[in-house]
Amino acid sequence: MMARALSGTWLALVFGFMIAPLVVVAGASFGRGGRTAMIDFPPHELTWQWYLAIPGDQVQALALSISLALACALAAALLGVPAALGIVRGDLPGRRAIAALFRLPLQIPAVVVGVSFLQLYYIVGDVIELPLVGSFWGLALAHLFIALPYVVGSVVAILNRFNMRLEEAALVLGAGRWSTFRRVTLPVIMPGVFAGAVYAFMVSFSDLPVALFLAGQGFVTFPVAIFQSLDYDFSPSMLALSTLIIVFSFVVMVVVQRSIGLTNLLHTGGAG
Amino acid sequence: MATVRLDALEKRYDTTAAVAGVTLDIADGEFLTLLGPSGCGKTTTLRMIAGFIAPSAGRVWIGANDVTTQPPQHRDVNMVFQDYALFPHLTVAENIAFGLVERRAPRAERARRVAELLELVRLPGHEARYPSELSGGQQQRVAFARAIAHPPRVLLMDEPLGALDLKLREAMQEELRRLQRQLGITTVYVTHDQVEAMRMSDRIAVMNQGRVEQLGTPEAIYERPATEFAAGFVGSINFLKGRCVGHEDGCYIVETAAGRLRADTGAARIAGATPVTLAVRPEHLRLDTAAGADGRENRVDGQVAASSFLGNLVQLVVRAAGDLELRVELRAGDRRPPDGATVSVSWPTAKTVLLPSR
Repeated sequence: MMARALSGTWLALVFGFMIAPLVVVAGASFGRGGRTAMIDFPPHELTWQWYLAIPGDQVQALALSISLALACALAAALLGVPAALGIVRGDLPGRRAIAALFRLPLQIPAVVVGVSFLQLYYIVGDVIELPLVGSFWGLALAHLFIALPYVVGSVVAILNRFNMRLEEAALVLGAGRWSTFRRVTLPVIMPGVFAGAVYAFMVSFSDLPVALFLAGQGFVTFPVAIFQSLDYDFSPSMLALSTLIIVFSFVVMVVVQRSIGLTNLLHTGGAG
Repeated sequence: MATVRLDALEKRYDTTAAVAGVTLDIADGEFLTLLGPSGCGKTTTLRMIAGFIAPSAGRVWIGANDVTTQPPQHRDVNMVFQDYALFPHLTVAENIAFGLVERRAPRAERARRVAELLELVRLPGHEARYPSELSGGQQQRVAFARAIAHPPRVLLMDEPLGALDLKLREAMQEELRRLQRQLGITTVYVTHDQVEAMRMSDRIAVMNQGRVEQLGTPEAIYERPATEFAAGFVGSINFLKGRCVGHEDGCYIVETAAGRLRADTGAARIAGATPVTLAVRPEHLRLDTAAGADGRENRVDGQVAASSFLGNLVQLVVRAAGDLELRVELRAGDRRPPDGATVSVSWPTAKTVLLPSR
């Protein structure tokens, strides 16, 4: 009884800790705003005005961030699956070293990654005479670098417990190597690919340090836009926009959990 | 349907040989079982027939084709796996139709074939289920249906009933055997369960340490084992060590710790005074009180050391001279001597098999 109450309290504390920042942001986004404090929490007077006053360039930055994150997630999935297959299935010498290399981006501070890519792009950009800094593909590439380990990691994990008999069964049923991959291997590891891609999306979407270096004039990601507005022209509209994103993320999470999470549990968890 | 020919098949890993020269001819429509303990090379042999493992030496023939270097998808064999290996992301119907899709069968024909197969394996109406929603026995049937959807030239089965409980396993043994007969598919079956092998097979290849110790019908292997290993692996048996000292009236004469015994059947040409082993099944042994063994009976005296009642029969352990232990099986209705009683055990020389000593 006592233990139950204690663990309940502990759970409530952790949950409160996790949700408090979100409550503050969401609450303040409905506040009219004080004269001195920019963040009005708890709100003195409720209003929708900040939602209506979200500036167009912020929305633009948000759209850019979403397309950037989508490109990053897709590219990370396309590169990460073959990489993971090579690490788990390949017989290359130094497989462990290669696997470690794919974890490397996780161990480098993002600021350092940003500076490195900035330098690299200056040098390469001079040679190929293309402005990589401040370009969509320049930033997408840098985000791919920091996001790839997540896809590789989750696909390696699911491949490690992949039942090789499934591929053998496909082979004796007359499927060639490619058909076996397309009809059996890929669908079975898909939950891992999807989970990795969602991580890749989040990494790209929430990245500030790398984007700070690589964003340019007229090319600003959402986190950079928030950062800049906090710097000199803060408006509670930022809070309103952030609240919308929190709600959106929550809905996406529930949808993913309902569809992928459950089917994953039912179909790959059982008769593997 | 086709014959299978394994020609001096070998698989070596570094210095150890998993399969050390297996030669087998499997007839069209035959049910042949590779029987042996784990590590005897039976599964490796099966996987070489499937094409999952490349042999170190030797050839695999299916029908008139040497398939040794062909990949599995071109061999036209199929396999039922121990864990069934049903595709977890596909329904029962999609699992069964997997190979038909690969062969570009039209949709209507696939649906017809799936329904037909589900009827055959007694699972009609289960098309839309997922494998995780089926019981072990049902998964086994789906795996079988999938393997024969496009009838393979050879069906390979790797301990397909190993994961089922005893009752279900016995039912499935009968069912698989019925289906195999009905369809006439050449089948190579792997098991370590001798009862299963006896019940299902046309012929059994008893394997040990990468070799076939004996190949024959279940009756032949049971009644006339060729080696101590084959004798001991299939059913229970008594071994009596001795030396062969002669041969008269079509009988081998063997000197053992329990006296001079005779054997009608010999598995090997035995030279004088060679160490040999006599083998006799416990059910051939009788307890005699009446004296007077003729030339066609072996007789050993001893004391009852232990006895156990097993319902339809009584098992006795009789200790004879030279620390020899004989297992005797009596029918439950027979007179059952008390422990410690002195008894005389006799059995026909015709049921005594002479084996070369290991």
